[in-house]
Amino acid sequence: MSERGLRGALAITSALALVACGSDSGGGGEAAAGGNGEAWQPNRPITYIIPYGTGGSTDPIGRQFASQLSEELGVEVIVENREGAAATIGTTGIVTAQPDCYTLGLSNHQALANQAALNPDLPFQTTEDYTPLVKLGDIPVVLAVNADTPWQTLDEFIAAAEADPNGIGYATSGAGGTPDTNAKLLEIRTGVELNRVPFSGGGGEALTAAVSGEIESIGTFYPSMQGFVESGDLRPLGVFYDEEYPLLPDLPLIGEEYEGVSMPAAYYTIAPTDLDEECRDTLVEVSERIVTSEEFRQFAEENGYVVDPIQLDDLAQEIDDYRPVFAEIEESDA
Amino acid sequence: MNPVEGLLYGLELVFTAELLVAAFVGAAAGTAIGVLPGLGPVAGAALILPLTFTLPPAAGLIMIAGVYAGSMYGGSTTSVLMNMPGESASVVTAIDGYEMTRQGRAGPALSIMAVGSFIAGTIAIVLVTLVSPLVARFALLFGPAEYLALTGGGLLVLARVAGGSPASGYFPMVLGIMIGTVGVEQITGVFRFTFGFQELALGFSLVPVAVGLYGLAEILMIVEDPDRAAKVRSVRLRELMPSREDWRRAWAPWARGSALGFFFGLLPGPSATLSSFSSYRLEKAVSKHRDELGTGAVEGVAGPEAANNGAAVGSLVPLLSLGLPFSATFALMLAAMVVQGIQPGPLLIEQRPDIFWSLIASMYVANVMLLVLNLPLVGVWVSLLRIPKSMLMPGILVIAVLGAFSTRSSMLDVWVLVVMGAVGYLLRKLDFAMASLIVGLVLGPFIEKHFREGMFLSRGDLGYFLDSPIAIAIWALALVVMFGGGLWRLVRRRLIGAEAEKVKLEVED
Repeated sequence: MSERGLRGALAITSALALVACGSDSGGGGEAAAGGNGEAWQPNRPITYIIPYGTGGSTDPIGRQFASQLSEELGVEVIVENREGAAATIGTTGIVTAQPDCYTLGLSNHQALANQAALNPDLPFQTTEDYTPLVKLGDIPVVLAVNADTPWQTLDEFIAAAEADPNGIGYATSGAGGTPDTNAKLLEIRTGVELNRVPFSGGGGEALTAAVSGEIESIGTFYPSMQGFVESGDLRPLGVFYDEEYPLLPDLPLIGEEYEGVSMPAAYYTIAPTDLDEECRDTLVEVSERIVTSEEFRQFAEENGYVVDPIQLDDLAQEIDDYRPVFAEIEESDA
Repeated sequence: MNPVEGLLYGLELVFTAELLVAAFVGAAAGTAIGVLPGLGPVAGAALILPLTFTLPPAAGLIMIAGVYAGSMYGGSTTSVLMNMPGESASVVTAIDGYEMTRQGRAGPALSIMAVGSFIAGTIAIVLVTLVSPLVARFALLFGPAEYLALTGGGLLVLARVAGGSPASGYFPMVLGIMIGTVGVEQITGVFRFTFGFQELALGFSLVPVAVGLYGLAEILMIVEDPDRAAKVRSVRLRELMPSREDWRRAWAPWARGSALGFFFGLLPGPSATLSSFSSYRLEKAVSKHRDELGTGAVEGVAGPEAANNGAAVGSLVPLLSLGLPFSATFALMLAAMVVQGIQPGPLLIEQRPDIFWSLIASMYVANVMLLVLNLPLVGVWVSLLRIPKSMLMPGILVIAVLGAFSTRSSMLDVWVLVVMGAVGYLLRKLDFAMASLIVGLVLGPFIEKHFREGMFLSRGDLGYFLDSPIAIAIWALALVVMFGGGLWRLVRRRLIGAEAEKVKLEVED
């Protein structure tokens, strides 16, 4: 009895392992529709590297792109999460892959412009070291205060911060993260001084502190604070961005009022440099089609992104434009 | 919709063939994942997450709930059978669970665990149903000062969880805290104590440390003294099931553990670990059979196992009512919801009662599935122990090494496993409590983090940490638990009189 039971258990276990392994196979099969006269037609699965963990806040937009890429090209696209070291591990994986168009992935302005400058050993020092295929979108940081604080507008908040240097607390998800960086920019440009408190346990703890009134203000992405804005616990005062943010069209743009105080988290799809010309053109064309599609736009907007479909030289220019800003932040001791 | 109607509504939504299959697959996969050392609840949920993207929202979430409950149970199974805890919440189960196995009572231990998990799930569900509107914002009462009190006070109290002399508890605790400081410092990103090894930047991960300390050290002990190894008398059904006496003794710890776990689940931090250790500590303080704890007492298995399941259900409250995931597994669950277009938050109960209640119900169904799946498997697990030692021990060693390596694909973790095996063997020989080392390793980084957050928040004012009634109460409670027993004895001496005391002191000397 026991031996048979054991065998059964083994069989069940291995069957389950198979189920788990096959988990990504959802997107592949049905997509023979793609490749409408493309010059390059992949004949095996493509790997899409995401330099963040499964289930992180960035994972979904990468997966959305990967699943549409699979539909467009008619082959399976396997998402590989390679997290760690501020996205540099995954980005290194993309940049150093074979330039055969079968490996591409997601990266961001922080890894490509800032980490590259901080660590000369990284293999992506300039935009020549990879192919900047397409920009997926920006997600700006929103500044909000606890609803019990007296400040109703951005100007009142800034005035209060000027009057009380280092007196107003500003919760962030961690030192050096995008919400922290935007506050540093604000400090550099306006001369105010906030008491920036890095909560290291993901965004949740910073949010708890701001909602409970433990800390006066917070900078974070809108989707995570939206519930508390709707329930009246938090009051958004401004967006660290310099164009209209469709989710909050009435809020003042901090990047407009204070020159350059606008650094959204920006996500890109990149590929190794020196791709074969044939497949490179196909990827450029297909990725533009994805990012401008209704499906992608709708997904992005629901998740708080602003779609901005720039490619290649324009995208390289954007990455290069971020470099002096990061250098300025690194040099200041705000 | 009142809570009772809500729960019934949720159960109605969940009782479809599709969702029951999802719960079953989740629980089965979770158990398999949990049994392998190295893959715990987080890794399990991360593996299954991409699969849930392709399922309807309810099925995906129920599957993750199943994986979570299943891997917690699976992790404890190896604790009991081989003294090899798969994750930190299972460490404390190893103390009495493995002793039971050595006495030939692995079957009853595993059954008590399975039934206890189910009962804790039930009690916690009832608590969620009755009090979730009241405690929805409970977590907001806690800031860095309160968390420091909870983790710091918890550390002091739990370091002596296994009893023994103060030194035997505090020495391994300090060792654990020291190991916990290795790696990238959380706030500024400075590399600490890495001695130039790039791999050490990630710090010591818990799995190789726990498996080394317990599993490897145990193998060394058995090599030294083959009679130590677990005996299996038979796997007849009657001996697989707990005796009437076992059942009777398990009820109170189940109830206490469930309530304790539920409370810890409402708060962020390592709630499953804190709750299982606290439950063991509580049993040591209040149980009628407290003197037997550590020698294979049913209470030492029933309480902690109920507590970590209670915590799992309790954690749903802040997740759903605040949208705040308080553990890595729940962060994955949140991700699964967001992908499905559900954004949890303070208005979720009102706006999407179907999601709220079906999730609560799904956690429950996952618990039922676990029971259905695991009670029949008890005999299979126990019969593993009948494999001759000369084959079983090398087999366990191979699995332990694979498990350590597979967590992060790092050879360093294998060396950590080996070194920790030696450390564990030494500590055991010297009669130190190893559970304290795990407590230090798990809580140390949290204590540092909350302390630093508090210092940032108060701009360097230490008074901040005692400026909150909740924090003061927690510290006071910790001090009472630590010193209360000693003080009580002192007072009693005065009452009994100095004469009698002198005689007693001489005897003790």
